[in-house]
Amino acid sequence: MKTTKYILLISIGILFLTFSSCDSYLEMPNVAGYNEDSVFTKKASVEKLISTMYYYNHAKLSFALDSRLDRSLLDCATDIGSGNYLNNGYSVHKFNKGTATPEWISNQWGGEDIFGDHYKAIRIGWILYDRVDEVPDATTAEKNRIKADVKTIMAMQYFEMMKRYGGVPLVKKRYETTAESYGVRSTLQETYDYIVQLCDEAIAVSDFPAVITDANELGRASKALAYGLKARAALYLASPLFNSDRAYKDDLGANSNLICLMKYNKNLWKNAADAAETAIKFCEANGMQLTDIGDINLNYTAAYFYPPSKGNTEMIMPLLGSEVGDFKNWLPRGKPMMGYASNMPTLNYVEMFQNKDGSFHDWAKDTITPINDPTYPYKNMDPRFKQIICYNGMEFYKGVTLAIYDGPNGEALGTNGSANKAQFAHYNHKYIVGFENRLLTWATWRPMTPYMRLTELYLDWAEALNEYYGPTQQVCDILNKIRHRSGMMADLNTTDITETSVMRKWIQRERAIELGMEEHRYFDLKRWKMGETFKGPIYDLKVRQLKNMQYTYKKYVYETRYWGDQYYLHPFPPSEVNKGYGLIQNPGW
Amino acid sequence: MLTLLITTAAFSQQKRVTISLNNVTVKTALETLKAQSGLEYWFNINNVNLKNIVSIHLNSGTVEEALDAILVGQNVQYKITKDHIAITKAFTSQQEPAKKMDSSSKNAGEKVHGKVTDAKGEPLVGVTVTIKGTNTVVVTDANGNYTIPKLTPGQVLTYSFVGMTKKEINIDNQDQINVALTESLDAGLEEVVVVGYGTQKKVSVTGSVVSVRSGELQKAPVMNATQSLAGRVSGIVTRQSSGQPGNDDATIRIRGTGTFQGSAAALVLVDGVERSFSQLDMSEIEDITILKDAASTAVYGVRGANGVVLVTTKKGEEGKVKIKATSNFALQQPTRLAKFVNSYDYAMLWNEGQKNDNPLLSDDKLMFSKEDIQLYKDGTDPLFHPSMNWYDYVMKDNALQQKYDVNVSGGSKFARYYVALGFLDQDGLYKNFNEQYGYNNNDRYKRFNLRSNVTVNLTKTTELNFNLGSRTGIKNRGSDNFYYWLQQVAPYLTPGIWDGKLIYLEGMYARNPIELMSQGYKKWTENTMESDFGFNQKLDFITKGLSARVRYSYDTNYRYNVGQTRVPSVYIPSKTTTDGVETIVYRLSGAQDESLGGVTTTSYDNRKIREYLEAALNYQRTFGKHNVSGLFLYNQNKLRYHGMEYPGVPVSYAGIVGRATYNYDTRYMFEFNLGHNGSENFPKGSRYGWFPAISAGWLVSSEPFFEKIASTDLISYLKFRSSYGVVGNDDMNSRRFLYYPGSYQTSSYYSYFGEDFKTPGGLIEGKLGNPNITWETARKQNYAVDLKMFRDKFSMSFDYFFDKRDNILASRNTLPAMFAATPESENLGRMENRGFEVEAGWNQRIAGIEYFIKGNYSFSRNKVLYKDEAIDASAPYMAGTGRRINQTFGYKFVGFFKDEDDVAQWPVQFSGASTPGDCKYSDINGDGKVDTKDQIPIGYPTYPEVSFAMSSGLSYKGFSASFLFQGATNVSVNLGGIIQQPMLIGGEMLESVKNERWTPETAETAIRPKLTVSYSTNSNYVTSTLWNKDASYVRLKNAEIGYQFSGKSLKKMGLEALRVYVNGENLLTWDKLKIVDPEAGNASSFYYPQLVIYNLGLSLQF
Repeated sequence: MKTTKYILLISIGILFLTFSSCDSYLEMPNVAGYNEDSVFTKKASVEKLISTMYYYNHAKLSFALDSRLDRSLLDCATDIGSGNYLNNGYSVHKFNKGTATPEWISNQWGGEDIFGDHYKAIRIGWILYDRVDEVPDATTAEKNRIKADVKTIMAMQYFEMMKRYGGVPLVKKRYETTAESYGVRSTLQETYDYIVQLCDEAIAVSDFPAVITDANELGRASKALAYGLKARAALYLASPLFNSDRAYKDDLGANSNLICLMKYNKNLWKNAADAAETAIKFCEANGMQLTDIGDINLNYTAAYFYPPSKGNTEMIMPLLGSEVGDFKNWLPRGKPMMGYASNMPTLNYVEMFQNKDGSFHDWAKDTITPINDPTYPYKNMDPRFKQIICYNGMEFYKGVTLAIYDGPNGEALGTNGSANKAQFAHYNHKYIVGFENRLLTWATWRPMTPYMRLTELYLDWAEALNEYYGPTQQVCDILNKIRHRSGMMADLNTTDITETSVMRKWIQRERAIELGMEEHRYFDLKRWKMGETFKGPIYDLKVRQLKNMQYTYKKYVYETRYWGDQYYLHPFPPSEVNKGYGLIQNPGW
Repeated sequence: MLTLLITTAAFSQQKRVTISLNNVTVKTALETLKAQSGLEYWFNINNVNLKNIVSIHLNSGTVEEALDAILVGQNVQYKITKDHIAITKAFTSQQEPAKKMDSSSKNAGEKVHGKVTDAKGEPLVGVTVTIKGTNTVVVTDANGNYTIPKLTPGQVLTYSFVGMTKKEINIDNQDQINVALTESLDAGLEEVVVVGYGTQKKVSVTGSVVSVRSGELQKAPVMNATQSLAGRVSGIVTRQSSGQPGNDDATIRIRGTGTFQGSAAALVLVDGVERSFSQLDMSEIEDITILKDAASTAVYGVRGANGVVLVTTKKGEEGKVKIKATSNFALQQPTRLAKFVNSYDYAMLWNEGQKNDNPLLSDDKLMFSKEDIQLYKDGTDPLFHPSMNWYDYVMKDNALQQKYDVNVSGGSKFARYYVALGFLDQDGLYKNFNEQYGYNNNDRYKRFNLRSNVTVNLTKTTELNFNLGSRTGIKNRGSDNFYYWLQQVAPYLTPGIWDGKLIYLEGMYARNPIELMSQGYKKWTENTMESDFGFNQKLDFITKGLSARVRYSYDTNYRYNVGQTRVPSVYIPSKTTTDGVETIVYRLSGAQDESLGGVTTTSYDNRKIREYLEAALNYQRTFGKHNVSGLFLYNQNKLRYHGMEYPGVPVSYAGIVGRATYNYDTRYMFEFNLGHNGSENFPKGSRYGWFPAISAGWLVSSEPFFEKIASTDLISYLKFRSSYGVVGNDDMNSRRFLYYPGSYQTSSYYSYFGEDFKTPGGLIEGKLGNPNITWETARKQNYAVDLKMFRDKFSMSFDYFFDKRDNILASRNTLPAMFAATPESENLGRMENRGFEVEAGWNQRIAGIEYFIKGNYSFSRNKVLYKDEAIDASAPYMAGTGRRINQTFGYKFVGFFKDEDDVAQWPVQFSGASTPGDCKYSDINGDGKVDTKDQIPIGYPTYPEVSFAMSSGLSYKGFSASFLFQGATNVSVNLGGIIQQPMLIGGEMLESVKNERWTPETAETAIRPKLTVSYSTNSNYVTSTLWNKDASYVRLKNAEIGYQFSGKSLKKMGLEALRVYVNGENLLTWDKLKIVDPEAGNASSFYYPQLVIYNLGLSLQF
């Protein structure tokens, strides 16, 4: 009996000891597949990681993204556009009304940018750069290409930050622990230099494709993109906002070199011209050229919207967004489109377009059309006009004509007669060309929107040349080349244009038309320091159908807008500044 | 006078016992018998000589034989009742001296006699009957009868019996006085409470433990057990934010919220294993106990910091078979539905909003023309100008709820069982619009519960338990979030269904709630099977009082979902006139043709398996006045389920538990609890922690010096207790292996490449592991007093607690964006939480009426002492540090702008131009503008700081009635959605807005800004004191009236008892919010409404 007792006691004791020493019970089993190492065992996983890195370009920079600015383009925060009229809550109006809060601008869905996302792409870039060599099933050429690819994408992210914020903190490796020190803004010059450095490093890689020729790789970076980014960055650096003896606001004192070079340097224009020329030459040497599908009424659309297989020969880098959820946002208001018109061109924009003969329609005077001829003032316009803008009397798609007018006594008629009244005289047509009846056919609408195309580099080149050498024939030739492609044969020439400033206006006009609704205008106006232009006044037309079926077009002031010099550069999100690690906020915010 | 009480589970006297003891004390012999019979003893220690030495040899004898042998030679008699053995002085001629002593009695020879029974009419043996103020004492005999010399009127007879409430009767002139004694409920020194890994006598508990028993829980006709706790005990706050059938768990917080980022939810255990209790059938539940302080939760160590809810299911009791069947039949209605304007008002108000937005707008640009408005008013064009009340259109007046359960229990000394079956069918509030498709869009919940708890005594020292709980729940759902969408459709937007077709009207917001309702259904089936196998071995042969137990639990849960989604056809009607005849033509909207959209079926399944193992050594023994007990326990837990971050790697816990208690004479009590356990969340080295707690209690009323006070009847029970200990929390929102770098996850953050828009998919980096992470630590103090007065009629408990939480698992919020990775949480935060709870009750029985009134009040307030947050140096008052959790920050609303002058004189708000009728906010920092830096803490937290309840009930013969008022205060809600922003994107408008909105005429009385349709002046709708509303409420949570029939006629029918009752839930509500249910918690989201339930029940007992 006694012995049984002790045996039992001892065995219970042992049992408990065994249990309590069982630390391994809680140990994370060492199963492959749960950490980063597993990613770099397969090329397929690496491709996924690359795809996510690109997400921060394709989806976040793409204005096809549903939530950004409530589907309005940033152009709607400039003189050439306006967001949905009926709902001023459409967030792009916050810029126009001066109610944009810093957090909204740079750190909110629905805002313009998400500051931290640039660094997310960059971090993935460094992870790929550090570890892609380990991938067993990829060739050395593939690995080299990925390393060049990520550098170009990093350069692209830095450029996107530079144009918004000026000099930003440069992240030159992957941070491993939260304890590492970082977060100090580099100067504007350093930021620019780093962009150039990254591009040069990418260009130096022989396995990096010169241009994307494989239809399956459309959307991937190439040397052409790296060259193009260098040209763009050089142009921005040379522009008055940055290339100046003093910053647009003096608040930063000794730190003003974060947002300005603090010394005007005319040679930067030459640098920009050379960079653009190099980029253009490189592209053309590798088979690219201005898109021309042989139809002056569609060449422009082909240039910004068509894939290479349909004749686009100039797309250096498109942004391939996901399918746009609500096509209605892009459609005009009124019957039968019933769209929300998140993007509406202003009369200010319309007024920039020449007629084919080089003349301008005088919108300041009331226009009275002949009987039953509503499109009278638009008839001879630049063929690009119809590819960008919808107007009264235009055939929207087969059998549907836009009727944007009120009756003789101001009563709602035509399209206006519907409860979903048209409110603006013009609607956007860009990006829905060929898809107008999508609501009927339920066809897929996946816009390929341009991030960079050859036309832009030509315009960059022309601008830099004009600033450095003045309005030379070369400048005219470049612009005419672009205009000819779209059937604008009324050439610009050095006889008429003799001053740099006059030529500058022509270049700016040409940029607004050619690159309109591609989100260049907003940053162009700012780098030219044309802040006042944002104020407007913004014009629209009142369209009326008279009893005898004549139409009148009357220009009126639609609104005036807010501008403050702090808008020249985006604010960093206050929530970021408040973290207290020393991020210097841009002036005025 | 010391009373020795030994408690165990109830057993039967029919059991055969086998005892072989040589030369042991009576006490040992009695304990041995108790161990086998399971019967408790009730006796007065002065009557039984426990030190007598006896020898017993019985082979399969009866309990009576055993008792005869044990009590041989003692002048006692005994009576065995269902669950106890009462040993009393033998009722023999020895009583005579007592009679003789009463020589002062004038009417010597005359006698009063009577019978003393318990509440059920069973005679009580050995009840002491005393003529107050004299030495005359008699004891009831084996039949409960007593005889006592005749008294003079005015004298008082006192009846006292262990475990029963003492009773006093004023004598008139009666010859016969029959008395029924009731078991003293709370007061009983024998009352046992559930504690972690065991039970304890309540009197010796030193921690903070409250429990509520099945009878009380079942007064609420709710189908979700989490809801039944509302108002029942102190120290918890429950909130039910939805009434959706099958999806209506109330959140339970014990002593408020003690941590700010990880989960603040209590650990819930059913029969000792981590399980959900919300879908148990209420009839399965015996007891729910809340462990609040460190002393009671330390044994749960690394997981106990948020308090613990212990749910115990019913077990069988020895005795003849008892069958109980209950049926409940109820009607459900929403507690409250928001009231919205009709189309006429809507159109007028929309136009007003449009004009407000743009005063220059010409009338023809208004959305609604005069003709439109007239048609809405007339109602003559219901197709093109409808005026819909969607609640009426879509919801039923009330929905049925049925519940049936039957349980069978009973058993012998060898085996006892409790078997129950339950069935619930709870219908939802929606009408079905999809009969033609063969499915139902209504919410509906059906549940089948099965419970079988069996205990078997293999040998006299070995007990086996086998518990099985199983349930199947089937939820039917229409479209998700449908209730929310009902608010988003203005009354004029569509007539719903017209001519059998779903209709869109042309216009800005084409939508139709019925379309949403017709988009398919989902049916969730969830099977849960929970089983326990327990083995309990007495080890008295090693050392007396020692026992060991092992238990193994195996739970499975399987969820399966099937559903169909379809794209219904929607038509746009228009009028065409052909040859002067107007006809209506329907055009299919877009390509939403059913034949194209078709039906897709989805299904999904998910499984969980939990294995739990527990092994324990128990020790309990009394040495004279020293009572000691000990517990040493090991447990481990593995939960496997699919679809988690680390598939195939089960969630694990392991640890050991120790407890030692000592009390001297049930006067001075000491307890030491220890948890040593670990969590898989932490790395080796900081994985296991020690969680000790000490506590002590002093039962003042047991002190000799207290007898004088006790004799005044003022205070009958007074106890002080206090505890201090350390508990942990490892829960970071259910994330796992916090030290381990997170795995890369496939992601929807991917991009497309190629002309065909192909994507390889996306991958995002997981969290970085934190190799230094460990549990958060709560240091908890508890100080309490328990008091009973007026012969236990009044009872009260007061607890004060103070918790300090360190190393709170929280994210670092000041990492630069350049880091661009998600770091794992760190042990960063600190906070404190303090408060108190009071419970008080009054219990009395007068002239056959028994009644009670009781109430409880709980308060807790927390404060964040440190959290890593980005603080705006120019507005430090906006920091969360130093504030309560869930503190709302917002603007201080000071009125509406009267006119342009008013606007001009006021600081610029949000750099936008304000106009009259817009909200005016205080410029808090005085910088001449109102911007984001002018936000201050406003209102109370969104989770109540105070909850309280008052209940009362009475019973008289078969009749009983009770009610419970429950409420919460110190709670705010921020209005949002269309409640705040009427007409937003075509949403509805509250009826009340009509009278509350600002117009130049109502400028003085308005409590809402002027209307807008564009919502461009967002500054009116920022979080401010205007929209921060008091969500305090008091509600008649439940009330019940019932009648229990009993008697011979029932017996003839084979019935033991029959009870009919009517009860209700959420019957009345008083609050300040008035718009939606105050418990909604978020006035913008519109969850499925909370329910009023009117229930009729019938219960039969065979």
